Amino acid sequence: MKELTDAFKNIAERLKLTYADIRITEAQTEAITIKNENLEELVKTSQAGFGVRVLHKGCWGFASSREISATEVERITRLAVEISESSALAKREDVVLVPEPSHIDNWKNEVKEDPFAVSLEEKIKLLLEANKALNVAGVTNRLSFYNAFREYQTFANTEGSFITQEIVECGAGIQAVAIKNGELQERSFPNSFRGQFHTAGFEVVREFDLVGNAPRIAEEAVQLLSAVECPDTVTTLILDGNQLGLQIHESIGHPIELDRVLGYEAAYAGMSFITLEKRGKFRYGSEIMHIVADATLPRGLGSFGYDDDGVPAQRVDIIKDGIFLNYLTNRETAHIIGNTRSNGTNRADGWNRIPIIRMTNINLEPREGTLAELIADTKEGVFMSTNRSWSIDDRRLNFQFGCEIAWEIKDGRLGRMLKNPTYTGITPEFWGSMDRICGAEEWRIWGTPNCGKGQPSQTAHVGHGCAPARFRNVRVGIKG
Amino acid sequence: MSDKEYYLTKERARKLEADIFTICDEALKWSRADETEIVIVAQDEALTRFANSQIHQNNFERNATVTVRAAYGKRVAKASGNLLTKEGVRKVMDDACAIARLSPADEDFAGLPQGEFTYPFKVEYFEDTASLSPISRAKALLDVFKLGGDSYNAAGVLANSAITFVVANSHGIRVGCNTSSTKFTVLYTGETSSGYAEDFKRNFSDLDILGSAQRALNKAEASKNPYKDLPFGQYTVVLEEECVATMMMFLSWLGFSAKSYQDKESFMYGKLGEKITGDCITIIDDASDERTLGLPFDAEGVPKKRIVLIENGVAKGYAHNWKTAKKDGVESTGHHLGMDFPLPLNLVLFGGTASDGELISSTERGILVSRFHYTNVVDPKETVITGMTRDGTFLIEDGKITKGLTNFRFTQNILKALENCVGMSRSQRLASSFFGGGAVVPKIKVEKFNFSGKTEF
Repeated sequence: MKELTDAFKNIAERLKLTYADIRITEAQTEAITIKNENLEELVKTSQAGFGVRVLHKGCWGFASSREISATEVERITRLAVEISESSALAKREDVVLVPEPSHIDNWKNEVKEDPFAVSLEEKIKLLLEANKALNVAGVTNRLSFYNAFREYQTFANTEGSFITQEIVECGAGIQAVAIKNGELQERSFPNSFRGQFHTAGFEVVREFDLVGNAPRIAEEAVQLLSAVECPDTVTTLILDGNQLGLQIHESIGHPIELDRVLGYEAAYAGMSFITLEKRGKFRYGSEIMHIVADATLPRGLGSFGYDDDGVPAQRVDIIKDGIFLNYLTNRETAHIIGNTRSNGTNRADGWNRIPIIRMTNINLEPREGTLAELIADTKEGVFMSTNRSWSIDDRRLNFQFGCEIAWEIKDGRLGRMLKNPTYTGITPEFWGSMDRICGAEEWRIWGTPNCGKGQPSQTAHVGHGCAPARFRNVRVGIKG
Repeated sequence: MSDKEYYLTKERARKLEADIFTICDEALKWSRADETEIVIVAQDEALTRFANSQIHQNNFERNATVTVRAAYGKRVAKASGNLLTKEGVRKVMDDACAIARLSPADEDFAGLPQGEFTYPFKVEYFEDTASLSPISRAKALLDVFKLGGDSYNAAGVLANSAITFVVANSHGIRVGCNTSSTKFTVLYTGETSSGYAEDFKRNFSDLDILGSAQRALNKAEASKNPYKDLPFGQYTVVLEEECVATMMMFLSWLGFSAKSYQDKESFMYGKLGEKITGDCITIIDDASDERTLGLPFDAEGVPKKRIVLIENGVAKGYAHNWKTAKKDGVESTGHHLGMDFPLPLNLVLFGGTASDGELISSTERGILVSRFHYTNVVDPKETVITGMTRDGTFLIEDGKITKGLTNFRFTQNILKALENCVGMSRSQRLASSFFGGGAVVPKIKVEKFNFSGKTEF
């Protein structure tokens, strides 16, 4: 790698660039899917390449290649310069980077059990056992999922940084699908869309207890077929952590990305309602709301050592006492809001993508009490769990979510199971109606491995720590 | 690029394809598996992204995906890498063989495709598109930025790519093609409104960049200072192509795959031959329709067949790969995508008889919707989706567009919307869907479309 980064530095110096960096990455993934006790998918992938980003004539240029050699590094760096010069044809303002000290470091996350070293037989055996345990009368399809990721990255820039990182992520899940008379119901554990994910090793998969939870999940899927419909009404809503995580993702995580606010994502994913003048004074939610962006959180799927600007991972207050305080920034945008340093959120989906602002772990800090106590404290309402559907407008105000399952709450107790639960709201009104958050004993970090943004498209792995919380006067049961 | 040797001219693309065939031939000789398949996609992609009427992200990528599927009896596994050399392909093959040997049997595995195939059409490769320089892209955008003036910021992408796609297997299948593609998207955003347009072609010179930009700007100007007080509820709507394409792609994901049918999850399950939507609805998948920018074969090397999915409202068929076809005792339709879920991605919704203007002029009171945003599934069996309108929503009164509107949330059953379709434009075009893919579709007019919420912008 040193030979490549030296070749890059030599050419960058000769071309007298304002700034340049190179990222050389090697990534591996493993995926297993078992459906109805049959192996449907067993895939291993590997990808290697490098990307060069140059800041020249006030504009960015980015080029990347799978051919890893010193000759190709020189050719790609020259191409990146040519691209930056073409960008300068229509320049309105120069790109300005806030200062960052140079870093020479090597970072890796804690991995107790390397998922790639655990035998395939053992992984398949665990997934098969969980699949068998889902075999309850009335279940139509049973699924078990497993994914692991590893990325080695070398980052070097013209300011003297040289950083290597190794990030290992792992996750698994199960799903039961029950179909009858043209109706489909599904239950997932620990989370929907292939399960729960952490920046950690195989130890997290062992902790999930997929086999132990499978019968309950399967029975719930079947019970949903005969459950009553979630009523169309306005009521008190308690969200389980695995749904609240996605609520945070869509209605807080994305709107606080400063590149969105500045219009960089306007044509595709959209912009943000939380415009620049709102910083420091806008009431985003109720006074009990404390949101942090924390890339340092052990096991968080949005955790790392350094972002792809070479800025160390940080923990930053985003919303405190319900007031909006800070955006997610990178070195390019931090100065626009008067910050003298990036808070370290610039990340790329691999060697062949330019880094853009991404969520890290966007967490709702816990308050107090258990979920059982929260339900006991609620006279009437609905408790919803596990995401099934999500949608939000292009400024992140009007949202609608669907969950897999819900229960009515009557006089502090869970009552009848409700099917097809949905709820809708407007972001600041919804967070303003939050009047109670459970405590640390209920707090979990939920991994979202499928966050899409950018063109060409990039998928980020991000996390959301939260405990169940209660919201007042929410419209539920929206019908099509 | 000053280094002219780098870009894939037609001659270099042909040589790349020939080299890949040679690598595949040699690699297949090394394989120790009972059956082996190699799929290689080599791609150069350049994408100039702009926002606030300047270029802010400007990219070039040279990549490849080498995927090997190895089978020992019914024990099957896949591995992939991106090293496009003999050694790289061999490494991927060794990985696939190693994990296939350790895997349990896939009882549904029906072997890899074999037989004499005829490929019914060829695709073109445009050298000028494959080798379009960053300067050429930037120059093409200068007039787009200028068009918006001081009042409207332009955002979008101008991209070009060159693709070499090869499939080879141990039963003698050897098929490949070179093709190019290009796309332009633009969104103009003003103080109170926005307008969007897009264009997809194989040949850069066929893109109508300024024409698209003008259409987007017209939308933005026509919808400024939108009326905020129209309540949500049921309305007659005229849905433009991006909305209809999104509905088509959701139908594809929710029901047009043999896998979802065999797993009983498709909305069409048990309803083949039954009327499931309106008489005027005929949906086919036809990669040979040049407007879909389709390829002649799938990721198993099987020719893509034209399939009728819904005909005059009646559920007719779904897409197969080799495995699902054998399970049903039929022939593959050539819709393998590399995963265990065949899918039609070259959808065409037949058009009607109305001019675009007649859809509006025949509407006493309704809403014109230009584009959907962040649409997602609420109920997969009932084909209920939810999403937002964006980039130009208008009130129609007495057959005329009278004003722009703030945006609505819709929650709507797709099949019911198509059942309530009372008009379709003659014109059709390829339009994109928010979560990927697209379809060749007309504009449609739908009664009782359900808006379930709204925004203030």
